[in-house]
Amino acid sequence: MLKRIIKKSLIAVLTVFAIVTVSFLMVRFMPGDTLIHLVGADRYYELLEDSPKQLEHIAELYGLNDPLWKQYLKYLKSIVTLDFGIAYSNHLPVLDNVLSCARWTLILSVPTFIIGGFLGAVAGVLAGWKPGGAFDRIMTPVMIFVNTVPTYCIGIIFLVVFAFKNGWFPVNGMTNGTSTGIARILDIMWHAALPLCLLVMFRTAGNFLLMKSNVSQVRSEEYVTTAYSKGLTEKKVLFRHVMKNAMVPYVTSLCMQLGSLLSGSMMLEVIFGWKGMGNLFYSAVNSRDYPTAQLCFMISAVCIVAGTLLSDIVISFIDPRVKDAIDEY
Amino acid sequence: MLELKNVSVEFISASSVRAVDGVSMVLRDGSRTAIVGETGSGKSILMLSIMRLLASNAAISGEILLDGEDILKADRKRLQQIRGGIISYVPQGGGASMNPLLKVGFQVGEPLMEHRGVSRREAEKKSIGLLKFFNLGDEERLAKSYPHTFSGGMRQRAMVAMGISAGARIILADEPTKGLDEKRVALVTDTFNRLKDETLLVVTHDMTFAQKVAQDICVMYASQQVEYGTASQIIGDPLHPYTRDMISAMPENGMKYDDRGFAPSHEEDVKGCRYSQRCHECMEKCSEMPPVADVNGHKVRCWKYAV
Ligand SMILES: Nc1ncnc2c1ncn2[C@@H]1O[C@H](COP(=O)(O)OP(=O)(O)OP(=O)(O)O)[C@@H](O)[C@H]1O
Ligand code: SF4
Ligand SMILES: [Mg+2]
Repeated sequence: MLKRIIKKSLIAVLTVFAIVTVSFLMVRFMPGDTLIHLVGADRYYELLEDSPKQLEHIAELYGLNDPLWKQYLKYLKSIVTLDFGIAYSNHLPVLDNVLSCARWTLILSVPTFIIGGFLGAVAGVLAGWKPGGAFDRIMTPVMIFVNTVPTYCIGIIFLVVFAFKNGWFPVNGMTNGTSTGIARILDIMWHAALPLCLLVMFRTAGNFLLMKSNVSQVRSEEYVTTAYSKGLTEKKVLFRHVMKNAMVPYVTSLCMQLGSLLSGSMMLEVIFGWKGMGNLFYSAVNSRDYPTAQLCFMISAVCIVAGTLLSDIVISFIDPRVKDAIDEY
Repeated sequence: MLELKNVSVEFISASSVRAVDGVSMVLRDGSRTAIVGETGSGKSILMLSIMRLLASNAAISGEILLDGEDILKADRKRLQQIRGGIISYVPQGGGASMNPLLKVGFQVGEPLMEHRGVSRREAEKKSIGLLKFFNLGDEERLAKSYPHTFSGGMRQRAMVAMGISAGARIILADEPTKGLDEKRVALVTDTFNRLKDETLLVVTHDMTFAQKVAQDICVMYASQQVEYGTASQIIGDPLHPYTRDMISAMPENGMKYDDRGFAPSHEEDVKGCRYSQRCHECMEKCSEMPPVADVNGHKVRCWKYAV
């Protein structure tokens, strides 16, 4: 068991290392002068005209004149010391920008994770336990609709109906920028209401469909007939035998969701002008702010690896078959 | 005593399927009966209808009398008392019959918690004793293990232990020897022979096993009961051509097996005797459904014996 966890962790570390290396190589081998990618095109040409000296200095700073391996070591060192460069957009350290955006993303993603995880599970169990029942027949089409319709469609409809037309909610942004204390918190909540509602809806729908299919599949397993044959009440069959098994794939999915807490929903953040990670990544790519995009990419990749590792570990605690499985590596 | 009177099961769907067609049986207290028949003949469905564990699209008709009380009329609460408390069901011992996430000891003891008000701890302790009764070996450790660590034969015996743990008087076992080698079959046979007072109903493909554990044998073919009598009548003096063919296909009889196809499917609308396509004694009369004849208490559905 411990061996298995160590093995999985080592694999995760190697994966992270590979991700870091790829993101290093990507900048170095992109067409054009690497320096353009590192300082941004506008600034590059500006500097080229005004003070080529400074450009030289920056190249020196990034070690662009050194051999590749030396650059690589330097790059690794900068990552370990959390020096991710300067953002083109506001000339602040990339890390500061990312940390500020991460906070805003978490304000949306943590409640989405908790509420969506709970609602999806409960509704999914109810629908899967009595397939074809009234609850299932009403919920399933609704959830399939929510799950398939593109995010921006519902997002824009919400925005038009609840913000532009009725003015119940703000159209854009996270705060009014003036209030403080409790008033500020309430203001943030008011601003978050629409995007949060949407995110919870989408997450609940996805979780619902997963849980429903798990439960209705487990329900027809032979061991459920065995459980009934012992004279157990429906409730005991559901909680002791069905839920436990149906939770296994659900927990895997929750772990992956944990891993994507920091990624944010790009589409909704952009639509609602929410300055989170998704939005940051979007504008970084648009403005070719390479250092920022690089860090966003690395963070989400590392989080996915961490989520996968977490689900591996958690599953081996709840499913004895996994624990005893012969490792394929 | 458990008495089945003209039990039929129909699955209602786009095309309804009659999986069990008019089966009658008497299981006296302490008696042992085997149901034999080929795949799809309705054996499992018959057994599950006694437990009232069929899918919701199944319509059961006839009467299933437990000491005179019709199980088919019992309400949910009464059914929960009967299941595991009076009649227990031992499922086919495939990997899927036990919950993969619960320890075997707990699953074996679960009926005790349900019917005898025993605490979880106590039930798990008692389950060790039950496993010991069936000689599983290293029972303390096994009780704490998960089902996937058990071999098929071990799981089968553990499941019989689970069946009797709450003291059910009537044990229904579905193909307890399926997929086991001869040595394991012997172990399972021994397991059943350890049960002294219980009434036993086993479903099997295996005539040899049926002969070893049962006093009465019911032969099913294409949803119908084609022959029903004591084991010595069925094995020593089989009447129905299907039973005869089956007995000559037993290993000790040289597995003489002549293949004339399979039982008619539910879609085929066979008017007469369902065995007529494969029967080499088929007569003109056989294009009509044969009645059940009684030859000295030995029941057979074949025109040869109709008077
Ligand atoms: N839910 C269902 N709906 C429709 N038909 C069903 C259903 N369950 C079973 N049947 C039909 O009932 C028939 C009898 O099935 P049953 O499982 O009792 O066979 P069996 O004699 O136990 O066979 P085996 O030896 O393979 O276990 C099968 O032909 C099957 O097609
Ligand atoms: S009724 Fe006719 S076809 Fe059917 S088993 Fe008897 S002899 Fe054969
Ligand atoms: Mg069967």
